[in-house]
Amino acid sequence: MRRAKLRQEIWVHGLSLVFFMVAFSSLPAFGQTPILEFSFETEPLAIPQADFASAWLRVTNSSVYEADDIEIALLSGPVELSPIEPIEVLDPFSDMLLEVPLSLGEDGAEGEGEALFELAYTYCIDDVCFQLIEEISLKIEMTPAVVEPTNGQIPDPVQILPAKERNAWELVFPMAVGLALIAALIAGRTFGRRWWVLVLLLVVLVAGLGYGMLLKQDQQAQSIGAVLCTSCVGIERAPREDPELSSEARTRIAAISQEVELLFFTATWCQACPYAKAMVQQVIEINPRISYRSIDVDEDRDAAKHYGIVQSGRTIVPAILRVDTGEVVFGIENLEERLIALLEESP
Amino acid sequence: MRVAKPRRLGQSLGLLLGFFGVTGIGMTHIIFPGLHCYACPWAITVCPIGLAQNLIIFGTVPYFWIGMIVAYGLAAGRGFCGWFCPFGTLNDLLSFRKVKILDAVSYSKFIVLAGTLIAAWIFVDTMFCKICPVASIEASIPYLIMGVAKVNQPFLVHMGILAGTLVGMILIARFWCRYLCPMGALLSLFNRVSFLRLKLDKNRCSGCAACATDCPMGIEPHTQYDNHNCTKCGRCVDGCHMGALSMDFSLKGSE
Ligand code: SF4
Ligand code: SF4
Ligand code: SF4
Repeated sequence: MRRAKLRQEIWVHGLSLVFFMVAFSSLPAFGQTPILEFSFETEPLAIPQADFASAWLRVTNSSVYEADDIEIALLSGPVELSPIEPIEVLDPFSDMLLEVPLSLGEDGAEGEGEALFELAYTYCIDDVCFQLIEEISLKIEMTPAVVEPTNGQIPDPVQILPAKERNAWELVFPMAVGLALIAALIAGRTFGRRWWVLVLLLVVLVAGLGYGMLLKQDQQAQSIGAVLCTSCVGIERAPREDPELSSEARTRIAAISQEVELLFFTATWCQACPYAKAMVQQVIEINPRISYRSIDVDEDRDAAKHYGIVQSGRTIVPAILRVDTGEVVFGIENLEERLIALLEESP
Repeated sequence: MRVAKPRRLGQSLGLLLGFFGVTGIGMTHIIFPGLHCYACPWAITVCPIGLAQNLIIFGTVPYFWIGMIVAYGLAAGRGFCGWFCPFGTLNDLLSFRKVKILDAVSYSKFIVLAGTLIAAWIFVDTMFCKICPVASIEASIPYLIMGVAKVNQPFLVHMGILAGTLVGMILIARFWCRYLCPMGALLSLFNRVSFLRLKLDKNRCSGCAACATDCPMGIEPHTQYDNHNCTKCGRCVDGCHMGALSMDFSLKGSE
């Protein structure tokens, strides 16, 4: 009897330990979440007319993955960006300063402006690689020309400065919460409902709920619940391969003579959306009279409401809406056929 | 009779809250204390297992999730299985054959739970949801009726799983809750410390095992009280002629 009891205890402890170890060791970063943070250290940046100045961009990698091929490009703004080499690798848990050499033409007006940059990078989890693109803006103060303009002389492109110290708290706190929980559960199973077990659990409860809500994780939970991606609970299968339009479909699409505007509703974590999006992109390549705009339902919930992508309180993605008729196609099942029907209909 | 009535009320409340979305209220921030699909068109709460998978995919440290689970665990442990969870209520309604539980096999729930989390991590997708029988009832069928879903391969997989689970439930009372439910596994970790608990007065117990014949989880309450599988449903309490078992809700620590 006692041995059986002991065996049972070992089972339970072992399993709960394994479970929480797996749960916690798997926490830091998965999926297509951004792993880099960007911020300009020199903001606003003053540049004299017909001169150059360098903005310093801090790039922080707080994940367990290495980021590769970090590239910066200028999207808009009053300045010019001198070409810089992409950064090949940024190691996990490290950061660096990147010098962004900017120059202002002779005729640049005085006053304030804003430059918008695009940052692209990739990271891989085993065989799955993600490319992420982010935008960041920089305020620029354009000042009168200095007495001796250096005209076009450009500083050394990239300089990597030593990493800033990491914030240990970010690692220690989740570990403390996790360990307290494991300890409380094991103690609870072994010693029963002692008051200190209850206190320990209450501490975990308050820390978890409090810090979680501080991080707005309750809202995150709500938004996960409020959007249904059709492949997620297995309403459809999410294909990993790209769609291939049949030749008959291509001729039918090319024959469409009316202007059609589509809205494509998607979510970053939606597994079925890339397939649908790739198909829409193929369609607009075939027929330039068809255009589309992509809407992230997590960012723009009102648009989804406004266009009726919400069904019984759930926003469903992927959804393709034709603006003039208001018709919607949900999901990816038999998408080619349904998409063409949507396009061919006369308003 | 004493426990049965309030428990039916609790289960009705669970159903009511589970499907409160009929009123058009939409999704709230609350995590459901049972297995209840967030994809259900009428759900107003987030499924804990569905959310856990998503958090792994997003790489979020799940503070809020842990806080909520601990809150539920501390309040009642698997009491939510006996008193609240709609799928548990379905299990309950089909509890005809209260055969004895295979204790060692019942740890398979933890394998399902661990597998669910690991699969979410490896495949960066909510793999468990694709084979979840709750989603078969609460998502696949409603969306088929609404015209969003089609009868396709995933749908048939869902229906197959549902059929298998239903057969299991008819042959073995609370089959899903005993052996397979990942949420049941999570809540069972708290069973010994929760405020709601089953109490046994050893001096009164005659050892007749009348309670054991009533237990849908197939436990012998008079020897195995505080068991991690007990759903605190109180059938044994009502079944005991000696009044040796009772339900107890107390905030105090005890031995
Ligand atoms: S499919 Fe199952 S696990 Fe997934 S959200 Fe629905 S009930 Fe929860
Ligand atoms: S074991 Fe799972 S399905 Fe059964 S009652 Fe508990 S949470 Fe609900
Ligand atoms: S031991 Fe009693 S309270 Fe627990 S599940 Fe069995 S009948 Fe219900």
